[in-house]
Amino acid sequence: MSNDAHFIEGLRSGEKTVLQEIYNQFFAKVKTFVLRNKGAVTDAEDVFHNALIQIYIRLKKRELEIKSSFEAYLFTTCKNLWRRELNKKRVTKQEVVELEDKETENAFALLEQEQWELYIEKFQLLSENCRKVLTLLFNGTSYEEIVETFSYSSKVVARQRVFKCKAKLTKLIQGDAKFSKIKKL
Amino acid sequence: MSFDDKTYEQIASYLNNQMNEAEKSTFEALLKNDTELASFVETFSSLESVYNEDTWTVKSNASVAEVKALANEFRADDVLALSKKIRDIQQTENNTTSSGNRKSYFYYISSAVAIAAVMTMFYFTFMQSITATDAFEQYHDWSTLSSFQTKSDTLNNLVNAENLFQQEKYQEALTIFEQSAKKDAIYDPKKHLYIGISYLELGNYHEALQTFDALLNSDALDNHKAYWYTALTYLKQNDAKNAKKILKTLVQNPDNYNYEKATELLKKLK
Repeated sequence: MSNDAHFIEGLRSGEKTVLQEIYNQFFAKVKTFVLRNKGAVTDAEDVFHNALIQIYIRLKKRELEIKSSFEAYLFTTCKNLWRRELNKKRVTKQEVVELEDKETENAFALLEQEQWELYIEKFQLLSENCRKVLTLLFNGTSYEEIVETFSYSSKVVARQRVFKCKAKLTKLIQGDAKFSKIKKL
Repeated sequence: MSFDDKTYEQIASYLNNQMNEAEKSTFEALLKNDTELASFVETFSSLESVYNEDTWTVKSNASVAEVKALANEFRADDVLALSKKIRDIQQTENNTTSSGNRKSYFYYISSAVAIAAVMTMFYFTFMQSITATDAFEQYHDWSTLSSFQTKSDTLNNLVNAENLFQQEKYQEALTIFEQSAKKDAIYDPKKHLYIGISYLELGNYHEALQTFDALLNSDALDNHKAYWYTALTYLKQNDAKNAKKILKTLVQNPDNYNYEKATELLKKLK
């Protein structure tokens, strides 16, 4: 059994020795990430705990297939969970947010992770040109720079191109069976 | 799902805010009746927030019923059992003071770090006030500036400038950033931050302050970053009085950049 399969099977069956291995090998990296991003050790522990639970449920109930290494997958899940927490903190500063119970929060986090994965997966299906244009755009590059980089004749042309790429991406996302599953009823 | 060209044009001008009031209300009425179109527009406008690393937000569009059902999965016995196992491991790791040789090395390092942290805390509790120059040393952190690095190598020039900046070759970096900024038709806050900080590092405080002032008055979304960097510019000049003035403005809005740090710094500053 490969290492990844070993971890995945161990988590699925809740085998404590494997959980301990997972903790020993992967927690340090998650901790570093959280500490570097305004978090404390207890935050890192919660994130790690919630990520493992989330992956467990997705493996058992939601046909999760981990295509990358287990380590990479676990880390991405942790990273997203922490970014989500940070977003929440940013919002709660201003308004009184009704407190959801822990399980509902976890459910939301799981659904958002699935949604995010779908977006990332579909982005890879775009043409290389679209991927390049949108990557620049989503990272704050101005239309002027995009015009220059791709030698478009004008900003109008660049805007049209961006629109087409975004429309294509929207269609890819919405066309996926997984999207209709998480679509509003 | 596909729309005709005219609809696509409408979607584009709706989202780009190019419609007049009449067109807008017609289109919004259309959105209310056409769920497919509404769903398309919704997903389309969600793209930016999902893929932009800085503003990263993902919203699920699941129904309440689905969220509730899924929340119940988290309450299942096997999940609770797993949760307990993980918490036990974490607990043990935290309580273990010296568990065997494999961990002892790590343990000593982490205790050293912990002791250092505690001492730093004491230091700050007992010696609350610090000088402006010390504050500058403690609080300036250029590594948090956003990067021009992208997966494509098309922005070479700016990436070069950023590298020069990181190597503390501020004059060279400044020249490239300024040239590039001059060519921009739209004000680019990111570049101007680098320009201001380069001036600051070069000791051209007047220019640095001017640059941050321009940033503050720009319509850039993160123009409030200017407060923080203006404060740092004063601190570098050992001018606590003006630094405090700016920091006090900054903390009036919790959404401002580095609100927490500014609050903390205000308490400490002499």
